[in-house]
Amino acid sequence: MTNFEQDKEIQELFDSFLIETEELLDSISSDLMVLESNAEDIELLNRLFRSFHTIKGTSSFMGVDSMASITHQAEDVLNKLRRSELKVNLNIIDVLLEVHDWLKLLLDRVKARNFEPVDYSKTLEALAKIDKRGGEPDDEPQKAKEDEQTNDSPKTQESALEAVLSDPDLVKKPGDFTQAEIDLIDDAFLEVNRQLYLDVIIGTNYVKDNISEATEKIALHKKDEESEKDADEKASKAISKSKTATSPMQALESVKAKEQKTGSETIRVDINRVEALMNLSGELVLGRNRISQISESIALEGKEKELTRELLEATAQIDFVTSEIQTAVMRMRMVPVAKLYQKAPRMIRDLSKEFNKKINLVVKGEETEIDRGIIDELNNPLVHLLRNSCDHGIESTEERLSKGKPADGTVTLDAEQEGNAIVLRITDDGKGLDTEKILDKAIQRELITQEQAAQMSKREIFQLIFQPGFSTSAVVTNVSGRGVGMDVVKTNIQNLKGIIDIESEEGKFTTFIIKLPLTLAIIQGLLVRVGTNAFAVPLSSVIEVVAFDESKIYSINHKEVIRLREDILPLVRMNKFLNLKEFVKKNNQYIVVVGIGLMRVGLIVEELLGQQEIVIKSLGDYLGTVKGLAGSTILGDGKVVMIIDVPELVELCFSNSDLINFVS
Amino acid sequence: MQGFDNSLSEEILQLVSFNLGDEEFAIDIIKVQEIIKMIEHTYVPNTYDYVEGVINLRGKVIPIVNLRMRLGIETKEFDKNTRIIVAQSNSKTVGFIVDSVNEVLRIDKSTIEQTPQLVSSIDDEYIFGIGKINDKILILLDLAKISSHLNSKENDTKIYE
Repeated sequence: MTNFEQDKEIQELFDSFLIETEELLDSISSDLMVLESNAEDIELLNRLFRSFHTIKGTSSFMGVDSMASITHQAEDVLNKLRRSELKVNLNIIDVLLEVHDWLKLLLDRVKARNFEPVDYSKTLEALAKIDKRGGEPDDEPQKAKEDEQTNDSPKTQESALEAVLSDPDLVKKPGDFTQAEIDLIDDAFLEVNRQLYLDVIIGTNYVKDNISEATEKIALHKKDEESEKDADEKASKAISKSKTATSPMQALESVKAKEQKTGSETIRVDINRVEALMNLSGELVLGRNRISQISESIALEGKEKELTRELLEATAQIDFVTSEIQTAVMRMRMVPVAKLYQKAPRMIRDLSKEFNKKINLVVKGEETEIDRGIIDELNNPLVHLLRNSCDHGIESTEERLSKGKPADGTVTLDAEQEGNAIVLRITDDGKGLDTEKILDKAIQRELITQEQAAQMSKREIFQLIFQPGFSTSAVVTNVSGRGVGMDVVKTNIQNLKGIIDIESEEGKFTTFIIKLPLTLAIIQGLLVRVGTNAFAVPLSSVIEVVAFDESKIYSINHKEVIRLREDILPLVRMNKFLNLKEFVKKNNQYIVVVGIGLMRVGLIVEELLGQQEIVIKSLGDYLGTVKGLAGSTILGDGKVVMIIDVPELVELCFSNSDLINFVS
Repeated sequence: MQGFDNSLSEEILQLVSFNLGDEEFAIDIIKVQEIIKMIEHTYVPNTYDYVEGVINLRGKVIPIVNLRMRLGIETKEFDKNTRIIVAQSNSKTVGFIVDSVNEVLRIDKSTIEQTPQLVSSIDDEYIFGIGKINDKILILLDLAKISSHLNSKENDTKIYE
């Protein structure tokens, strides 16, 4: 653990452990209060059990054994309570509250980097007493005793698991296990899981190797005394190694020693408050825009030169501060992409098993920051894309070997910031997309016609897999058949004002590229005018602006197009889209070329009004989402203008839907 | 009693009355945020026909609805008497464009009658009840109904039939 990057990760883990545990303790204390008057509430008991269970898991993971062992005992009691093997009484609640208080104390000490154990033996005794009084006949008391004796739960669990596994009557039906045995196995897996988690986080295979070695030996359940001992030793060695060599606490200490202070302090703030602040800063931007506009008009009048100069200076100052405030507020909502990617290792592990393929995961750029609201919405699409990569992308080991590829497939998650956008890439080195197969399927599903198929570019073909009702897998596996198709993934991404694109080479790789705005609230917009209406086009999707020449228009499939260099560019007459009768002027028009991926559409407008920072305002609950519009904004002069939803507009142009009455 | 609640008194309802065509309508004053003159608005494409557009009401973007069109009454040009009644319903803020606003009235709840058939040119669905003041007939609109979107499009066709 000399690598600084790893230290930083441990620090982050530790911070989130502190925050999470604090939160759980708060909920435990309030839940216990409610329990006093609601003794029969099974939901409440379950929640309490889960809270303790989580604290047990995380604290033992962080190596705070003093917290883990007391929580373990409390968890046992709660387990009996929720199984109605014990009845809630005041004494139990008192003792559980005592446990809560100890945990709080311990957590405070951990926060102050004090890892000395405290003497809570009285509470432990009380717990054991409660546990026994309503306890189970055979195994349970013994196990509790063991816990008390050693106070080293991981080791106990390993040997307990071993005991269960080496039982000559091992071949039991699921129903034949006693509750105590199930609990033992559960605990043991929790421990193994913790080690695997540690493994994934720290990035060494050392722990995993040792554990699997040990568990393999256990699984063989040799009767031979000596080899059993050997396995036990290996297992505990693995665990103690992980504690000495890679103890998070020690790593932390060294970081602390370097920093000589208590680290970055965080507070948890209700997201609604940040939201409110965000809105206010949005209003500030609007006000700022207005002031800028007024001062410019005054400057143009050219009177009171001195005052005007001062006004412009003051305006510039406000302008600067407003932008800073806005960035600061935006940053409050930013979280690293790691938050999104952290579930991937486990998923890939499960998926490898499920499809019986060997798949490695590579994660890059997880420190890239993105708006929290966006992260939350990205979870489901990511899960689906990962499943897709493992299911359809990566080939079976035999197939890979026969193609001369490495036996193990690789899925790469990548994130980076590109200007005002965040780009996420999910790549698999599998068989790639088969354009022929996609076209066949699309024609078969009547998504496109033969003629259309002949004209489609590679990219357009790839986009077909996002069409509702499209699925390349002939057999619907339990994975693909989850009711979450690629079309839902695309919808999710578009709801976030993002775009999704595919790059693929047959036999080599497939990459899903998700491009998202940094934030949902404020964007750079290009203001344009048609007739008396102004509207805004998000600058991020503007490719270029070219002069418009009516005489160069020709028509394909009843759609107006123009030739732009090598490409055919479909056109949208914005006057029609905005339902205006005619252009005021016939000449001096422009084509604003917008696009997603390689798809381009030209918007015919009359005047370019300039670039501006615009605050996206929803059109309100009454209107909800309107096709082709991303929302509205208020300009400096108080006028409301619509913001064009470019991905949707482009899609409308490329689809055969009748909705595009504004495309002539 | 959808769209109508009156916390002040059990018996007395306070209403805002306004004109649409030849008829006089009213809505519960509690739901009315303010009444403004017709102001410049921005057209919103691809939405319901009766949505005239959106306005900037002191920094808030608020949709305005042509109430004549919404209720299936023949439309007419806006003039100097045209008003927007900004009302709140189900936490949605909507501006309703009416021909003109008359007055604030108080009416005894007990005098409100259930809608008799064929009392008005509009669909009963939007009528909460009929109030009588002297010999004037007042059609009390169900605000929740007229500001809910005909969300289901099937509903949409109904008023144009």
